[in-house]
Amino acid sequence: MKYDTVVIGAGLGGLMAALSAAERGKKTLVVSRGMGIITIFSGTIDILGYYPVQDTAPLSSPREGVERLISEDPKHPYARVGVEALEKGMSFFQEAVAREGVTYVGNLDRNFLVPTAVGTIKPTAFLSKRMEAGDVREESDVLIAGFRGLKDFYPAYMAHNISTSTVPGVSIPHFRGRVLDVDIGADGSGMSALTLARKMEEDAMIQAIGRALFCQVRDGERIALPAVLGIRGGDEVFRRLEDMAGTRIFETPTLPPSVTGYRLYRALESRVRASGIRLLIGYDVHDPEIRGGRVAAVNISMGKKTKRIEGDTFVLATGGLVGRGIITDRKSTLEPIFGLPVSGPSRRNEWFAERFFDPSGHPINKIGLEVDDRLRPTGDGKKHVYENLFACGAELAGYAALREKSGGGVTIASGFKAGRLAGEL
Amino acid sequence: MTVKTDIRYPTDQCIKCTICVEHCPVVKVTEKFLGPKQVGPDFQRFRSEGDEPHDASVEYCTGCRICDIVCPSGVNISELNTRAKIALRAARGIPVRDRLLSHAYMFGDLASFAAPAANAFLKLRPFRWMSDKILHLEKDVKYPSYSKQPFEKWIRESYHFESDKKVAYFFGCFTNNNDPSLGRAVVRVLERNGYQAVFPKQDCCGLPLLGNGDVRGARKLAKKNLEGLLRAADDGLDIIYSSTSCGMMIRDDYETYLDLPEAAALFDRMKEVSEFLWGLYEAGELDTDFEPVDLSIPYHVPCHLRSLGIGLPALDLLGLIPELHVEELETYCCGLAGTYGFKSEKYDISLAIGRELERELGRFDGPYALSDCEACRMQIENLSSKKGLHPIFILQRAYGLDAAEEEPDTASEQR
Repeated sequence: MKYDTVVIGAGLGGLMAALSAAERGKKTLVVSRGMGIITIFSGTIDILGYYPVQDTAPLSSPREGVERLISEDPKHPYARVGVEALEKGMSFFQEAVAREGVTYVGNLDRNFLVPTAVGTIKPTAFLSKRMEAGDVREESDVLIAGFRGLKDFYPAYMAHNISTSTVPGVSIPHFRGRVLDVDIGADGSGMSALTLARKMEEDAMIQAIGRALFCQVRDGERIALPAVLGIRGGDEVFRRLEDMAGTRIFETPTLPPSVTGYRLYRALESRVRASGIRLLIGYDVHDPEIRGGRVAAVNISMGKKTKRIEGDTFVLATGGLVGRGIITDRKSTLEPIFGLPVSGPSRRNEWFAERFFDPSGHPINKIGLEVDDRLRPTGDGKKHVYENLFACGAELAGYAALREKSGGGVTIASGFKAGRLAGEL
Repeated sequence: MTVKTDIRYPTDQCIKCTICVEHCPVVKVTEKFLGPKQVGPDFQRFRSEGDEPHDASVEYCTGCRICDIVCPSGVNISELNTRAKIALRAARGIPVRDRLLSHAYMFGDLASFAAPAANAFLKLRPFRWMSDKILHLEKDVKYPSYSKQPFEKWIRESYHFESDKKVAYFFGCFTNNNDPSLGRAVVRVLERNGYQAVFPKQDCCGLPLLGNGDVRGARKLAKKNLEGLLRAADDGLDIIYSSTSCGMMIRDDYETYLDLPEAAALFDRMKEVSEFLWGLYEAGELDTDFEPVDLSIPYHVPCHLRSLGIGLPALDLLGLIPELHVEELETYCCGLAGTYGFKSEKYDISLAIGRELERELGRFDGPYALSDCEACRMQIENLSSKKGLHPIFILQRAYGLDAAEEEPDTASEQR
């Protein structure tokens, strides 16, 4: 089988790359060992939360932070991608999911500050419209309403942790946690957020929750609910509950499995299919065929079954250490499909830091692929290894996504740009 | 409680990311199933040989294998669950009802012989009441209807094409008894491309038995089938199948679950019918003289096609036909899952899983929907007013081969 562009990896970066290559009219394949991490993550898109990373105060303008970062840290993926691709990539992302009924709000000039299900306060630049009312810089107090028997969301715990959180220069309103008097039909082992989100298709369930919220909420309070208000995009459940409760509601993503992430994934998947992109999940990609400094084909396998896939251009979006886009053994780190050189600490004893969330970043985050300005992985000689191979997302070297809160932005911007470049070659 | 360390199971590869839970069709609609992660890699640590299985919720796994496909860490989750299900059945016995359901192939000969009577009997209220009360078979379900002329009979009486180019065809018991027009379409399309189909001696592939935990029964059928299939492979013939689940069972599961290492010899020979035809196309040997087919038609990808690892060859193939618009639906698992949806305690779950497919089908006006799996086609007909078709029928039409052909047999009857 032959494609114009072959994208390896079905996470946020891979799907963005595929969508932007397909928009250039390319016959595109996405092939992936498994489903990307989108379905289990919170669904917020962080651009840049803290810069320099040691800062305890979140950035008010991600754009200014990124511009400064680019001038001071030329090895950072943002320096390779550029502000322009970041801005275009984010618009492209917003348009893509909006067409499938999932609305993302935000821009590069401000960070939201939203509470998480574990009670931390997190800066992020783009989020689902249903989370918008959760910004802690708003003065009104918050009722956190949960459900008895729902796993992965505990109002009292969340409220307590928020009460002990501080953000320099921000006075955080009062959060109180309550369990609603609604029988969601959970049995002894508890119900997952996904199951409850499905149950929101039942009218009786929405009525019962709306009534319970109305009884529980006090004047002037906003309401935080776990993100279970419907399994798909579309705002119907959300609007009805706001009407019944008589106040603004925002969703807080639960611990994985997360409905917010699931909605985002399904929206992107719909877009991918509507764009005529073929999506093959469950395949190991291995044994690339190289001819004349170019990748000519890869082999894909499920179990003992192997197929050969030819392509004009290839995008590597297989993730970092966690996603196994980079693997390690006792002595080295390696990109397993193409055997590309990986930069960062190669000796295991350099992988450790006193604290995982070390304020100056953790050395393990430095591991990744170095790329040129066209996002092509470079060898040790600083020249690209293959003419037609691009890389994007968590696989890129030299940034501490967790610490600086930049994961979503780097992935979307580099995915968008890699797909564009692959689509133009 | 001992921690099981068994090198066959890469449970340590599981990073607890819950992606499998997120995509499991059963977890989304019921709490009765704890989910693939918990029942699979989590509980595997506490299972040891000979223990009484303690996780009865595995009964609610439909065996769709989506968990394997979406797992980013390569854990063989469905295998862990299937083995747990087998162990549970071994410990607690197999209900009479499940034995009946999984032996449907045996009624085939009898039912076809008396098809109108059998079909009428299956519709009778007293039969439905009895089967509900005594056997816990869902009384509202539609049973597949039996055809008066099984495929095997048609082969004997009406198939006379001969050619030097031959392929073996495993058509399976459903095609034989309930949907012989599918078998006819497959051999006609093969014939158009110069291939003669030969038919190794065959019986039900055994998947329903395995799915209901009857390893011994499945093995008996498998050994019967292997005789003819291994001979065909020895003769250097490709073995075509038009039912994705039969293909998966023979190609993969005989070796994995039934302790039949000799089945490995079939692996490279087993080809899903569209996979085979696409192979011809890539070799420049497919007759591509297609007439336009002016249809817009939804295509539901069966789970067991996804887990074959052959891509989506029917979609590639149909892409060659002028004016035809096929839309791959965003559906995973139709919910029927073989015999699962016929059981009264699982019927509601089956329908709830199917709701997604129902919604998607509702976006299309036409009378047809495509799927390569008979159970999916039955579910399409349960959930909508559309008729389920195997993609090969579209190809047959594009070749202009169905002018004289009657309507395809219905996958299931109206209640």
